[in-house]
Amino acid sequence: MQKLELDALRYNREAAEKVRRIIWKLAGRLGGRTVKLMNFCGTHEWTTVHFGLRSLMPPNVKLVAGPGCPVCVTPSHYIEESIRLAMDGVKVYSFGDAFKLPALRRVKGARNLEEAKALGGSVEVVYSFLDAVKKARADDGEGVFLGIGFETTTPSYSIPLRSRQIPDNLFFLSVLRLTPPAADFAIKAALDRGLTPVQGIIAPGHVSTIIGAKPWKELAEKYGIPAVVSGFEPLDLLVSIAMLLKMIVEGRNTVEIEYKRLVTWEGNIYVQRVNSEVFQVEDAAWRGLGFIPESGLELKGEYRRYDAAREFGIEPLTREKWRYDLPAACKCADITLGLAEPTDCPMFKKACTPERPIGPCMVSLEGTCAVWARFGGGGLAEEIAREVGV
Amino acid sequence: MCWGVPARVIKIGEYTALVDFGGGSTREVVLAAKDVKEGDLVMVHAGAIIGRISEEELLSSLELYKEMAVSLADGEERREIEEYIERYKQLLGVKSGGES
Ligand code: SF4
Repeated sequence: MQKLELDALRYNREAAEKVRRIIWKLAGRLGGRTVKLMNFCGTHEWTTVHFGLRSLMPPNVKLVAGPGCPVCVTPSHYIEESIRLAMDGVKVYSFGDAFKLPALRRVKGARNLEEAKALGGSVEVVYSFLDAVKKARADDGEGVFLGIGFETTTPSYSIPLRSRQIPDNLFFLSVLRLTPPAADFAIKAALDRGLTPVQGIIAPGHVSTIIGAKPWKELAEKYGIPAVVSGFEPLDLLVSIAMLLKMIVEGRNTVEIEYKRLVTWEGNIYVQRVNSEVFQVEDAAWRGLGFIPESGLELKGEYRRYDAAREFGIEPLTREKWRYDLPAACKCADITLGLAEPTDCPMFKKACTPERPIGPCMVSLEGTCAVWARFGGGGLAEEIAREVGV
Repeated sequence: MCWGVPARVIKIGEYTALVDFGGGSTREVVLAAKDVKEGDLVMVHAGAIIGRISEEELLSSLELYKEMAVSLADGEERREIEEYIERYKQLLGVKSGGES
């Protein structure tokens, strides 16, 4: 079945070509307008670049990557504090994505967790929080899990935390961030700067599996633009784009779900309930962007006893304390907001590469710079385009 | 960490489940969806099952593509896309009834 789903949706070139033609037809009905559609998920950007979907678009349909990578927006402060803990002998458990994530300042000689480990710091890359729980149980020392993620990652933390199976020597550093407030921030940024506004939202399928399609309605209404919750196969995205264009042509600013095989209007109510028991929503800092209201999750109530910040005296990052935290000349902030492209950065694929990342968007596979550096251009779509002579 | 990977549920525990990612690669993950049974196809994300993949909905998204074709494409084009979709539906019907 998995293979079948892939065959049906990924390699279905003929259907993709048909949807492409529909997109071109709809674009022709936009009355000469150019429309900008924004995605909010690193995996959508991956599919877009890997399969070369941009090269399938008519000239008046622009696909733009918005804030879609939780690793990219983790404030440098928390990376620096994690390095400090690791160098002090507290074991820092991290997803592989954050291992190379560069902090703004070196801490005890290390600029990221990888270097901290090389310098004798205590760092362990794990597949999941559950794995860290198992490892901490078998370990005598204290450990901290670097809890990065968007809504999709929340249940992998909140359910074990609520199960009370966490050993006393493991703590959780919450750097969880929420997608709709960041989407709002990005859409507003384009308006504030007088740039082409976002005219359609390609809403993230897996985030929406948790929060439902409902939260996108508020954004759609606020900005008078349509949203489609999309899956991750190329055909999913092409169909979602066609759905958005159809809604734009018809002047309908509502929310539709393309990714119906996983997403419902209400989302995963069980996870929403557990999350609200374990976490509370707070204003939070995003790397390079500053504070976004009600965009982060912190442990609450009795779950604060797992809070690594409290246990190890990590200073909270407040509005007053936050300082711009990207390396000089790195354009990750504008790239995250869909206001610049990786190729606008003079260091892209020169000084800054996936092997030696300078900025945070070059690290994770969901980071726009990393995606562009690995898969820039080409892909399935170009093959199709050649075949059909576009 | 943000990759969603489909898997088949082998065994359900109290707050975790054992899943098979295919090719004999199994793992214990957090069970974060209520309506999941053993044998279901699910989406695993950062070590947690975030939802059940509905095979019926997969079929109906193919239906949706067809609908779009009917409303937007014309003549020959419409017939072609309908044909493709039908072919995939047949494939789904055959496969999802048999072994995965
Ligand atoms: S190429 Fe590197 S330095 Fe430039 S914007 Fe991307 S991550 Fe930042």
